[in-house]
Amino acid sequence: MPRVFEDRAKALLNSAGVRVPKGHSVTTPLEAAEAARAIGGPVMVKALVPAGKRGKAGAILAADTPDEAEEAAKKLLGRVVHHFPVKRLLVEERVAIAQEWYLSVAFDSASRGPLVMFSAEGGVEIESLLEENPDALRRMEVDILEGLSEERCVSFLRAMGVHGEGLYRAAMALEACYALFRRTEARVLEVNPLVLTDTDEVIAAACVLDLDADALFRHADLKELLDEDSDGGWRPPTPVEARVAEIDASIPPINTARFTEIEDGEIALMWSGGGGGLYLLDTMARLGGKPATAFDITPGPLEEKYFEITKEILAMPNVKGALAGSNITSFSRVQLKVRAIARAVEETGVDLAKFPFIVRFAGAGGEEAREIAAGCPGLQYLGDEVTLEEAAERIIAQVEAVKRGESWMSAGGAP
Amino acid sequence: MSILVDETTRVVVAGITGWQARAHTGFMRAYGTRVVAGVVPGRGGEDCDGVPVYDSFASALGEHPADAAVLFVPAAAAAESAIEAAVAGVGMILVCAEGVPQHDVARMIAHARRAGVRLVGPNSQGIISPGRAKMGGTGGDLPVTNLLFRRGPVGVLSRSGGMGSETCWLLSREGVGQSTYVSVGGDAMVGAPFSELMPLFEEDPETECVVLFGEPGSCAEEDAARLMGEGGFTKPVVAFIAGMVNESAPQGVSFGHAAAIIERGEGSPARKKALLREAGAAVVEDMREIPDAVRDALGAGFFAP
Repeated sequence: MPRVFEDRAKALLNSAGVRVPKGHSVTTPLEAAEAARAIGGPVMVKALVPAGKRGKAGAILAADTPDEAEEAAKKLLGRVVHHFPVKRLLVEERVAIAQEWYLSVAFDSASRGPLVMFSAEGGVEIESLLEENPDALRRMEVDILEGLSEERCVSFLRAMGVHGEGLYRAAMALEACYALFRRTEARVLEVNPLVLTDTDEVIAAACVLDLDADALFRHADLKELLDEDSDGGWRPPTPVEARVAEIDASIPPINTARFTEIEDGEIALMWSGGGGGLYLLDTMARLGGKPATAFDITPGPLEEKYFEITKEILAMPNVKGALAGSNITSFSRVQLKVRAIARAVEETGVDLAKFPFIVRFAGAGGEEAREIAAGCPGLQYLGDEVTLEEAAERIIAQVEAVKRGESWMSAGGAP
Repeated sequence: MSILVDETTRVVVAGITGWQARAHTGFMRAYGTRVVAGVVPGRGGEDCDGVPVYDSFASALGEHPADAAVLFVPAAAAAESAIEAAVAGVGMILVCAEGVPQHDVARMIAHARRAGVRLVGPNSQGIISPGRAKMGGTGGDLPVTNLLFRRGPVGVLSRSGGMGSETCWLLSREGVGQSTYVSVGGDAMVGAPFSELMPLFEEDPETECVVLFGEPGSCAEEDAARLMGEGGFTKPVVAFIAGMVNESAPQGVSFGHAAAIIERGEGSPARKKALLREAGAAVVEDMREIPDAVRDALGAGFFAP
């Protein structure tokens, strides 16, 4: 999910009316010391990486002086936190905490609308809080057509035990967070902790803002704030993932390819249809095969994109065979994909005698696809006479044969 | 009988002039669906393969009373089209687009709810009542549709369009037909999740058993299990949940649909399976076991024609 860098998310929060700690983002220890000096007083030095549980990972350090901030920066820069290399830091004013709350706005698949969650016991990992005391987290459904009124924010928070001047300010912060969630078309906005200071100020001390990739076409301004490392999910995109993303962004229709590299894999899976792809991964796991990729593409005029991505897949050094296909029903002109594969095989000069490649397509364009495959020596074309499981069994057996130094033809399957 | 769509359903097609929509409209009509009008802003007055085109749902409905709408419009325009259809009073709206922004999805669901309209999708491949009519892209052309689907006693609901069709094909191959198959949509938020469509199958005298094809993420399967537990659905249920591979994947990793995101242990396939089993569903581990499980559920009285 595309995630906005924390310092930039805080700038957005601030312009929406939520107070945030004074802070500067830096890329060198010297800059960290300068930032600490400019802020004055004790600071926090935070690694700007798109991962949670940074505190536990030692990616957030306290510093009382500019010298300590410089030391902290030296420790953090270049480190890898939850797979993400630390390239930038956020040096922030350390706020005087009286209370720490948890606040988030996200979509709820049960009510199918925005859901506000709040806990008066913030500052900790929300997962552990939920385990220990699920009642500490309260939910408030919001009707997206009505929006969230200040009055509703006040009564929700009052019921959670927030009171006094803090109640009024927390309600303002909640109202502003909801407005920012809507304006940026976010998937998730989480503030943890939302701090009540000893002077009754309410400050967003840490936050996560995850946007909706499908809505970014409306938000050119937000695109620039994204941490590109977050595109890979739990780790930065691998080199081949980054190249595929570039192909996807440069060949129209853009944003139609979904590609994941799987560690230690051997068999490239190029299966269209999210559910089918998922089921094929399950099937491979059950049969003992090692998938190297998950690759899905939206139906349409896709030949050039499919061709370029297939070349990337064929160039992956660990990949020893490939299985491409789709469900039997796909209305996706399968001949385009098969032609793209045949062209990629020809251009890369991959020897299909040593690299088993099965395509299992059926449906619109199937006959033409079969003819194209017949013109590509070694490319195995299977239609609806073979189930997805049988195709998976076949590619696994063939790759095993190749690894033993035998011909994949010995492992069965029509040559 | 069937649910949602049959040979009497009068259908309006939004975006009818697009190449994919035009092809699917042709397939729908060849299958017996009554397509009465098309809606494409700026193209009112045109004729698309014999179907009159209007600028808006309001003007189309003024000339052609209709029961349902299928939206073949791009993701970015889906919400406005769905909201317009809901406000114009179309009773059932099917949204096919994949990748509709989530805030738009929430808005269209809220509008449909307010208008008292049933919304299926987004990210739905379609709905088919075999031998009667179909809406959306399900099945593609006539030969493939007839290969995949046949009329019979099994209601099928799937979060994956392709795998739902594959499920119907597995059943049809063995002579077990379907009353209606609904691709409910692959997003985490959809207009009509399993638990809202199962009561329709409960009421449908032709449906004797329901098959669910589930995926990780959302609470669709959990809600279905709750409905069964509360006695809101009493016919036999056979379920398959894809995505066990996600159980072992690091947090935040997702293959497949947007809905397939496991967060905080909720929505995991293992939990869904356990809850469905507890509620009395026959949960199979391999898709190929679905036909046998359905035959068991239908009992000795069922003979494939």
